[in-house]
Amino acid sequence: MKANCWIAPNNVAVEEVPDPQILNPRDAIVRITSSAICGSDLHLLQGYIPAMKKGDVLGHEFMGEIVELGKDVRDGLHIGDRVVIPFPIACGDCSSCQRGLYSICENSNPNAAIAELAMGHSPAGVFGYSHLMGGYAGGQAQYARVPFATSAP
Amino acid sequence: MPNSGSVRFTPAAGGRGTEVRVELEYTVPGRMFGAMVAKVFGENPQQQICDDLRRFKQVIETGEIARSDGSPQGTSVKQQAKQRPAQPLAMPQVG
Repeated sequence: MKANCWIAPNNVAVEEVPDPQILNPRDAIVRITSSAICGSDLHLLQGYIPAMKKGDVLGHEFMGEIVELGKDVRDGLHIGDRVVIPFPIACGDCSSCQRGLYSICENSNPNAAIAELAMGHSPAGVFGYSHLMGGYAGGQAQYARVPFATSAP
Repeated sequence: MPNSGSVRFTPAAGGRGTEVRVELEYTVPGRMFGAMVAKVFGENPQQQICDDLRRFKQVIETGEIARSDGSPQGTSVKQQAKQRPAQPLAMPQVG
């Protein structure tokens, strides 16, 4: 698929990258129909956010159509549904998520330790927003993998 | 590596779930030099226990280990130090 990739500060390029695949039972794959360029993408573009790598797919505000679902996604979501994806990736099960504080989900950031080192507390994983926020591929692409789909879109 | 330890589960204050406390005593071969080498290669027992506790919490609470494109194997110090780009994997290695 084609995706907008971060190359270096002030340098992004549309490149051919592998299509996303289901990695976990609660994942969904979304064919993206619209994606936004956010003001906070400028922080990444200009190189103010650390822990970016060459080839990172950008984009954290996107919507689309579900094309594939993990085996544990049973209720509510179906192939073909049109969905809006919230940018914080939230498990829905931890104490923060259950209080509605999805942006500080305690489970969705696999790189929480480096985020804690850098900022004192780790935020949730965020699509296309540096490796401090988990290193998730973003939504300025043709397809995206959405983890914890049962609690997100 | 000789070691001994305990894992304790206690209810957290204010109804905020369960606190898991791991205590581990160990002797690192090679003393300070050995500890330094282990740390550099992501084999420091403290780092490994922190990773294990995070993954344990993820599995207990969500039933799965959070995987991203940069950290496809989930939380581990080694992987955090050596991230792959945040773009989908050609051949996902899950496990």
